[in-house]
Amino acid sequence: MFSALLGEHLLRERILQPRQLGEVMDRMDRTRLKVGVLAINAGYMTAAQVDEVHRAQTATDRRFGDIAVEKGYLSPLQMDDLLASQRYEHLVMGQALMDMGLMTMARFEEVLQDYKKRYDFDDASFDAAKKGDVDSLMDRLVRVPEGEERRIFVEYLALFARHLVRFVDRHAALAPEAPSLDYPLPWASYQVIHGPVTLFTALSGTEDLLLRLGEAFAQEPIPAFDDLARASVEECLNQVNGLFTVNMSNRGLDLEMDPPGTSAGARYASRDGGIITTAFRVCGGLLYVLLSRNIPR
Amino acid sequence: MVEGQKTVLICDDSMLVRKKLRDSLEKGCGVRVIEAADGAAAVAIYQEERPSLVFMDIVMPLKDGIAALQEIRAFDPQAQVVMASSAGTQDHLRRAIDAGASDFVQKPFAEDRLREIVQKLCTTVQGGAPCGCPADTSFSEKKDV
Repeated sequence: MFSALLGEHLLRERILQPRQLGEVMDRMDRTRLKVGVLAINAGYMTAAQVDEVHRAQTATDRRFGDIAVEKGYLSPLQMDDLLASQRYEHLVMGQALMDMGLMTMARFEEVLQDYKKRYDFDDASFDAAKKGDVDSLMDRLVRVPEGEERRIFVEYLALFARHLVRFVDRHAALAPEAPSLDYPLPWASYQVIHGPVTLFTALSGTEDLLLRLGEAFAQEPIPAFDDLARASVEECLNQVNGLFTVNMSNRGLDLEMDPPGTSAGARYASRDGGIITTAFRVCGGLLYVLLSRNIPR
Repeated sequence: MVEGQKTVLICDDSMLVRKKLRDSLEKGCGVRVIEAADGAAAVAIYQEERPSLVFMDIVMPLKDGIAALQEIRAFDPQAQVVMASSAGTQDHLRRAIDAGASDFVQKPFAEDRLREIVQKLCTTVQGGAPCGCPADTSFSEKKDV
């Protein structure tokens, strides 16, 4: 996700044009190999084992390597070996920028330092972010007020970000500079989690964006923003919330979820505390995640 | 309906989940599939159709899956009902077992797990013929993170 965020930064600062960034990302896709592919290539795992680990990721919010090691398909040393080629994905981006004659390495280093300064990263958290630690990125970049609820919101948003990258769009990234959300919302899929912790969750975007998200999540073409498309967006949210409740349950907090729903033209008004709105760039558009500790009117 | 073909009832309020599960069961296991979108409809359809197997979501409007399971088991103590949830918590598992569930699966469904369940339950209930689940086919291709 870090390279996608850096890409956003390069666009915002007008260092790159959207077309150039697209070409850089394409080149990175050709260069960067998935861990599973690397594991098969190295002879560490079979294709069936890789597929099994992928499926396990749909039920548990854990990294490929952690599951593969737990199942005994990889040793920790083998996993380290594989991950070494995936770490510092921003360097793959830097290499692509240089190969395409768009930037020197020195200029790329300047851009990195500008980014670090702009979002007030310290050395440790910036290094973690560069290594793909989504929690560090979220902790630094999401606009969530300090307080006891911050940890829950940041944790939820990091989980959501990982889910988007795993199951919707591998280039999905937080969009910290996105414009604020206008009400009434064109469309919103929502679900309430309740129990010892109450959490209102919703996804909002244009009809076109939600259709593309629905298609990507369903892994099949959906011709129009119909009941199936809405069901797919709802199920995407439902799966994130299912994983969230499992994570909370592992800490002794048993939560329940209401059935999800979708509405057009919502004008959510939250009692106390407000609604935390976070934008992600996904499927070529802006998806807004709305979170509130109260159920809005 | 083909003579001797098993019937599986899918009960889930998500149209996407029903479609994915139907596609998978029909193509992968050769069973007849019927659907319900909430727990109340599932109970009514079960009483009418007496399917060999039920896949039942837990969180649903009108009547949740646990309540529907209890009513189905009261109607037919031999009913084979597999509970499915995107939240695979210990609490859900315990409540499902307490209510008489035959098995519990976490959504989204893994195709090999579906085949395992259908083969096990369809061959052990009602003395029926085994379903025709073929060799492995991938349910979905997921991305590495």
